[in-house]
Amino acid sequence: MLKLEDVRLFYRTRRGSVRAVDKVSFELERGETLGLVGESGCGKSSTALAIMRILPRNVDVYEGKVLLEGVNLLDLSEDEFRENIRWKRISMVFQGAMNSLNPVLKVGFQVAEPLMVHKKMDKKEAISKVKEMFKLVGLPPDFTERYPHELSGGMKQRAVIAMALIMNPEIIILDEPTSALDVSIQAQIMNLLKKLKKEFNISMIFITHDIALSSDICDKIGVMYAGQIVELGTSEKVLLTPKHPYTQKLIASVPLLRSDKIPDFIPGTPPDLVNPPKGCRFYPRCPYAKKEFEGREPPFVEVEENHFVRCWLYSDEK
Amino acid sequence: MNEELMVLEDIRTYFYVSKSLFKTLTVKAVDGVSLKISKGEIVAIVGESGSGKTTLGRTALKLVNPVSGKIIFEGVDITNLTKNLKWFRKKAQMIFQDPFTSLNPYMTVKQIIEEPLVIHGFGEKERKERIIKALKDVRLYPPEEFLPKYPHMLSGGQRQRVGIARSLVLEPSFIVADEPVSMIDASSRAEILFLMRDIQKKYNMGIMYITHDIATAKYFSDNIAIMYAGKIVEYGPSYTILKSPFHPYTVALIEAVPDPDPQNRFRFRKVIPGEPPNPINPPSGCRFHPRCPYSDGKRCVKEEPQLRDFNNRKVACHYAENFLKK
Amino acid sequence: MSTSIGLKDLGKIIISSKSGLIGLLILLTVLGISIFALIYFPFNVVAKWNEPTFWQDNPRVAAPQWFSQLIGRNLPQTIYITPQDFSKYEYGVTGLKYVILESRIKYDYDDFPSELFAVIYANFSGNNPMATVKIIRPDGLEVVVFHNVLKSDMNFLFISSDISIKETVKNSLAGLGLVANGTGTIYPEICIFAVNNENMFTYGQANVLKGTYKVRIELIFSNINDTADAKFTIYGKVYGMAGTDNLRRDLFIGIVWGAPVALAFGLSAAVATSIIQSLIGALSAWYGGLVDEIIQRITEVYMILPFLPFLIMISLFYKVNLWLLVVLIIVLSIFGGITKTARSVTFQIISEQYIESAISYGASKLRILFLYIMPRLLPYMVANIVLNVPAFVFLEAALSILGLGDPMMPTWGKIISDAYSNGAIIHGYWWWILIPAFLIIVTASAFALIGYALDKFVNPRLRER
Repeated sequence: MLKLEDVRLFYRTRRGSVRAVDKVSFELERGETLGLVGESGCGKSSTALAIMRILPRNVDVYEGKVLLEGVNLLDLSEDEFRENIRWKRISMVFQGAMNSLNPVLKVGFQVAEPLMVHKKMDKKEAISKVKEMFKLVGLPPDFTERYPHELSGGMKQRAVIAMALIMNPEIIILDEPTSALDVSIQAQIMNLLKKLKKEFNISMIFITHDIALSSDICDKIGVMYAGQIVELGTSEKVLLTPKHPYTQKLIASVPLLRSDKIPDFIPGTPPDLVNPPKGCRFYPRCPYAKKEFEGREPPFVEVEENHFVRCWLYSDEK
Repeated sequence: MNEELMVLEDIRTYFYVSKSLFKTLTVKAVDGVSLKISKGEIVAIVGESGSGKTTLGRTALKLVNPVSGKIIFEGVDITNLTKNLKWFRKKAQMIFQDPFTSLNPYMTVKQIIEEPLVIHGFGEKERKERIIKALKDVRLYPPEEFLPKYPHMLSGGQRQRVGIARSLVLEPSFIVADEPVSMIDASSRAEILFLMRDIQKKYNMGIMYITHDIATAKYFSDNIAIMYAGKIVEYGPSYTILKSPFHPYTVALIEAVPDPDPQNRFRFRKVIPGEPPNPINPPSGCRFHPRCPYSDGKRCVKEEPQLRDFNNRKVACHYAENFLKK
Repeated sequence: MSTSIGLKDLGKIIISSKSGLIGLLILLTVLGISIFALIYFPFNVVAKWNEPTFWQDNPRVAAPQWFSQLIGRNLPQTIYITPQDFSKYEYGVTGLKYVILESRIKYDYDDFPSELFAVIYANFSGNNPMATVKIIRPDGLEVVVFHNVLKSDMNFLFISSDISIKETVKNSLAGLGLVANGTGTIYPEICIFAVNNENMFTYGQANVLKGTYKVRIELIFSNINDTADAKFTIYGKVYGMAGTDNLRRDLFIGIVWGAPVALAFGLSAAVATSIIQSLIGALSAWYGGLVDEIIQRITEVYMILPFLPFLIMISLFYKVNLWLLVVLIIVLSIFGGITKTARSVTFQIISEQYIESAISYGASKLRILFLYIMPRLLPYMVANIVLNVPAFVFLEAALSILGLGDPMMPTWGKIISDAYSNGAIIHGYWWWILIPAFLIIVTASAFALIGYALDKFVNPRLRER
């Protein structure tokens, strides 16, 4: 349903061009949840912005294909995109969204706003729709009359999710929706997302730095490193049989509660996106690095059905 | 028997917020906590927001003053000391959460690590020695290269190491580590924690490790205290508690944390409803009762459970015996 | 990423914006003028400024020289006939010594001189000599300006103002058939240089008679050894780069001297105010509690009290010089608006963890204040300084105009004040007001432009991380 082909998004900064998203490709089927997992600075949030076409002023390069049922969203004009796609067919819950609620407006009004603007509903009708949505996300319907500061963190996050769903989009992107929440509240929100997924068959892109959390909801996982997808496959394949050394190490770094394996770590730091290493970007930190891999861009290889890796270890041409 | 380094007896730390000219609200951040940390022991304090764990750490270091209770450090009651605290500030240090704001951006690494030494009157030669030693302890090699750098030139992980180095340079016997790795990339956390563990073993220090990430506590602490709404609800050896938790809150906390298992997405996680309570107005009786699936609606609402010895640990629950059936 | 902005970043912010760059360039120019002033003038400007005889050779209230080009009229510059310019003829005739001093000048200007002035240096041991001063016009008419016995060895002839001399000129012209209408006084600098027609006595209607004029001074002595020299000055209407004032002072010198004074005054007041207020604000926030309450209340009282009336009161009772004024202003500005903003910023700073960590390793409150908090306030202090300098420059000017400033020092404000009290507006001596005013505005604008560039920083629009 949604297909990204070689999407690139670079930002212009004083130091040079930041290659935030560098040839990212993946597919998302209807009702499927794709996880974009990676650490700080890997480009996962930028990928979401590229899909939503929410670009800052200093965009340097923005190209590739974002195909929504065959139509390349990059070809549409800003007005067309705003009127037809953004929030109507694809919506987003931003990182720290709960903090970007307008403190002087009632929560119900804010969630109703897209309805009033896009569908030209009158306020009364819009608010009643919001009340229905609030029930769905586990908020009491009379909370439409409350102000953001009267809500706890978890409640605000539910309100923001309601806002993203109010227009019944086909795809919803969630950027670290739980990272600012306590772990017990996080579990509640994850249950909510699972319920929404089950009842509405909605497609989701779930962005997180916590690979364990991605297992809680994602059908497919794309692991990102330094602006690229280094591994892409079903959750089973990626989590149980990870192929890319980075994925392996990332999973090994999770301190496990239910087993006694000592957590691992990756020495060093992620590369600077202005000047990433030539060729394989994980090469400097990779435990399996061989001299012959240096400086050469590894191909994106399908190691087994629907499981892709960007790594020299799995390529025949070495 | 290891000597007791830091003893907290029935500590209550309250904050007063004036809402208006006549109304002052009391935030009961820490409401009756007793804890002992020995030399060479790491105690993890685990809790969510509003649990009081951060305030407990600050109280232990006298960065904030309790309204009642005792703080006894190396046998000396320092609860009411305000003036002659310099010796204490030499022996008890803190590692902070945010590597970005815990270092003075106007100082070089050398100056940052040197500050505690300058304040406590060390000579130049000894300062230089201690700085290099501290940088080596945190494995920033080569140490000399890092000295003239400013914090903004370093990565988050490197900054955190500088922060740790700074806390080591006075050779303290007790360290409070407040969420030292929560702002570090997940793939680097274990590195920092193991580093801290090595240093702790080397110098036989006592550490109070404050975190919301219960999973790291498993690998990094000897004993663990679970805090909820300003009180400890369960306390005991880390491995034991996490393998078989008894307090319903501990159980819920562990249940809420996923391991990377692709089957997770097919089942709904057992969660406790509601939110952590408001420290201004905590629930009566057992503070967990509004969210507890086992609340009896009577005793749990009226009577506050005491932290009592039970099954190789301490628990604060009226019905802990009921969970023995597991 | 560190949230702090250092001074280097401030510099970059200034240079990178257009307004900042222009402001900086203007400022550097003014600074250059200041340095020029301090190095170039070989004399003590302040002393000379108050010594009228120093400026004697300049015309009074003359416009700047470039004004001629501006209006397309060739306004007269001052013509100095020094003793060396006179050709001296001496001869004795039976018991009398004749000395004749003659000089030729070319007068091609489109306007009349402003003043005529002569000095005769008579060196005599015998009887007082007899002197006759004549001006021979291009059309041949000889006008007698002075015909009398010299009283001393240095004789000043104020041709344009001395009534008896003006009578002499009037009678001389009358004798030539040129009679003024009415019985009012005549203006020798006009009628002597005017074309011979019915308008020659009326300024505004008379036409300048261009050509070669001869000044001839005839002296009769009784002693053969007696002699004399003379000096004749035909004052023009333009002088120098900035004109002159009513005391003939070269305004260019005054204005150039005013540049470093304005900068020094503005900067010293702004710097002291900013530093003191920031320190107090930081102290107030850092120590908190009762100290904070007291300081805030004092600040509020200070902010309500009227600044200017106090200054006026003090100036009325005590003689004020410029530097005492600066001290006064600083004392009246120990507490102020910057105290409040520094306090707010300090609250933000002390919530940062590195302050808490400093306490945890035993740093004293004082140490933290100076080593940790103040450096973070530096960029705000600099921005405040830059934004306040124009205010202080204007303040000095305003005080001078009110007559409260330093009466001795030639500052821009003082010059404008003198202009105003000497009727510059009524008489149209525009350069006396406009040029210093322009400089005040330009200097203030320079700081305002730089401040505008920094404004984006000073506004806490900066998101923390």
